[in-house]
Amino acid sequence: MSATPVAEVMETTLSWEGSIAILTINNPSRRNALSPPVREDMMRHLNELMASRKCRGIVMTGAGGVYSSGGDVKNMKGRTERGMDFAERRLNQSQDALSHRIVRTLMEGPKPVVQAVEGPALGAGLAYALSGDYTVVASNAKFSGAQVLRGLCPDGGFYYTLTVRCGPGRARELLLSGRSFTAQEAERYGIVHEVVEPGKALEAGLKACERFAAVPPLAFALTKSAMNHSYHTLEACFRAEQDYQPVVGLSRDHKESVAAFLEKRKPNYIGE
Amino acid sequence: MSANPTPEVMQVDLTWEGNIAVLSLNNIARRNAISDPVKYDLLKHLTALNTDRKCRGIVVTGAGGFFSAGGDVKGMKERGAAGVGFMERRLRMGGGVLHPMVRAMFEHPKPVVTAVEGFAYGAGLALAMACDFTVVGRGCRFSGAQILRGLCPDGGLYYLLVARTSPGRARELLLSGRTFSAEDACNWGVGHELVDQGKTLEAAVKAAERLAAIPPLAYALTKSAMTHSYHTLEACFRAEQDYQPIVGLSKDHKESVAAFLEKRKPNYTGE
Amino acid sequence: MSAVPKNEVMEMQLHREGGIAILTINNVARRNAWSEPVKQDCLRHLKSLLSDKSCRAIVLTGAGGVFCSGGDVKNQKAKADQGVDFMSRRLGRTGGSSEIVPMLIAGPKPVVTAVEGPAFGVGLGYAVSSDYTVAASNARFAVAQVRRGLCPDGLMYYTLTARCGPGRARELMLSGREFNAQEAERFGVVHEVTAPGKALEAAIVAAERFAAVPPLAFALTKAAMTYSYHTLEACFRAEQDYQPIVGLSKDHKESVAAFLEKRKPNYTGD
Repeated sequence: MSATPVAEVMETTLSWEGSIAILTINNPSRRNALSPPVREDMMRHLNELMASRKCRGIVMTGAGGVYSSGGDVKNMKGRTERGMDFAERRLNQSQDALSHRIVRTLMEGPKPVVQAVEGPALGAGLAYALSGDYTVVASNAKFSGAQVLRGLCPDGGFYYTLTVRCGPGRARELLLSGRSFTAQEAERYGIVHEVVEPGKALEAGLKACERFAAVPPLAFALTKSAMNHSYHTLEACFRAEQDYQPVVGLSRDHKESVAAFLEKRKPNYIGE
Repeated sequence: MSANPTPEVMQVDLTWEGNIAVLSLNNIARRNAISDPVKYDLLKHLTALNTDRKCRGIVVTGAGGFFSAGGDVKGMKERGAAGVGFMERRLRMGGGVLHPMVRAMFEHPKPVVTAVEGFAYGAGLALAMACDFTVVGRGCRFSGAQILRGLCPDGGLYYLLVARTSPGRARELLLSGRTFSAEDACNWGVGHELVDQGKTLEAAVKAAERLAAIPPLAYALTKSAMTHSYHTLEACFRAEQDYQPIVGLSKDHKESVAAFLEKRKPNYTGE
Repeated sequence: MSAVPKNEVMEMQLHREGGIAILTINNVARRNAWSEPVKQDCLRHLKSLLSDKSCRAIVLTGAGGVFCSGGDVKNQKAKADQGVDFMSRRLGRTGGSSEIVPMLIAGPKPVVTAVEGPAFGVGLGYAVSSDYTVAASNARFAVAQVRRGLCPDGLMYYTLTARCGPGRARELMLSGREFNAQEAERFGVVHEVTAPGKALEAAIVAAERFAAVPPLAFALTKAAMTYSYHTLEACFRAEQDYQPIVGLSKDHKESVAAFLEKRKPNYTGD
């Protein structure tokens, strides 16, 4: 579990479209299950991308017409048969801790994150598909918060990421029943932002990501941070404004934005 | 910037429709931008209406067929050119009038309704939602545009847009700064009622009158609880335990029960 | 007020359909007003159902095509006339909805509410104190308390807001206006709308769906959905606390085995 099996590295692959990075979960034979190597690859790429100046946005998707079938049931069986006790499990949650780091990076990292979903996104796979700023799904996508049907509780930041999309009332129903729902339902509940034809999710995801990438990067990063921590009360919101607005108000990109607006030309941002 | 600019006061007009006060942002040349004089005027009026017993509700709207273009881009340029430094900017945000003005409007004890047509951008979008009910005119356009100017959202927008829509939707809108329509706004909960362009003020006054017919004490306390007590079950218990005995002993509650049983119109005094 | 008047007991009836317990508010003459006897019956039933292993889900509904018309206005008048003072009112606010609502929304069993006709005031509060709400298309809703010069009770600041968000909840609570089943579905106040007379049937179908989930995972997920969704860190903490417990449960092993053997699982709640 701890060492990365050499033969399986690159179960999450990275490619580029201009300055947009595309991360693809790439293990179609296991329906892109979130195995330890997939998660380790993903985390490694995300760490590099979040610190890369070249990268102006990240699109995550799955290979072979499947986003991800979620946790690996065979792996669950292995774990139950090894007979770990309670304390050992609670302490030895390296995979859960890794999953939390991935979700935290997607939700709180400074770059735009768009999820492009084709086919099923189940359990933790659905939790990942909701971790980001925008989710595009193909009309044949299928979803379920399936962990509860395996006798487990939801993981992958699910209580939060699903709830912020559709509200606690709907999230409660979906996570407590584990039922399947369609792309159309997901759009109606606010769980996804856009539904496209099958095969077109990545294309639409790139387009959405370019829209976010056109925003001044510093303002983007601080607004994204505030969107995680500062909306619960009006006072927290005022505090975030008071802390961030002077920083961006003095930035080069803000000056450039104002100048370009008044001169009616395209702005050129550098992230400073 | 620091002293109250007296020559420009009265960028917000106050008129009356019966006992409903109508406040109009009125600086058409600058597209009703939320300039310092507008903030001062609005805060001054809202504070005065607080204790004005004649006032049973407030409508906030914009003159000239539009609500507000938000922050003043020319003002931003002047600030940049004047070299206003970090600490000064930070103090200006906290000690300035934007936050007190939004707080005064959102937490006002009386019903507050906004009538929004044309456009409401940036801090103008925040203002459009800093109330109990928002009437939107068809064709109206909205955006959380600050980020396109390299700034972060202000005017309470993180909270207000999330409160009306959801954190997931608000994240998308505030991070992209994109424009959205009156129909989208009403579907997502940014606006409560969609009417024809030109009819928003009339509909807003009607909405304010509807809300003004509710016992004023219960209204003010429910509003306070809706601002502070919905996050957790325990906060909700506490608000009920604190407020219900107060209103349960009020004259208006007795009057309400009596009128209900006698099938007549109640007459409330706010006590 | 404290003793249950004998002749009025059974203003809330309990009957069973398999593992599903159906609680029916049954005082049609007073439009199922949330009276003291209803409250006492409800508390008594819930206390036994929540610790009853044979009960796999609870459905709450109203008899006679009415869910609940809300607090009892006649009783409010009596209270106002008796001149109960501030401190005794404040201290007296225990029991009732503040005890019942947490059992429904944070307790271990699935709860589904089935609404026909009016659900006003505290009745609306109970209608949304569940995991799933079915409404017939002729259902009508209102936060009526504010029109009686009271503030909303039944923990609606929390429960209604959790359904439709603070922006919409503020509008509904401050206006006290009536809204219909279609609006309720659009706002997220209810999950499903059915033809008139069909709400209970649909609610039983929904309750069976929840009842098919392993009970321990259900109970812990429900607790987390009540307390742990506000921040990402609270969410991570709940996952870290609960996942090892359910990961070691018999039902999880059974679930994995049944999944791999492609057979129906048999859960015991252990």
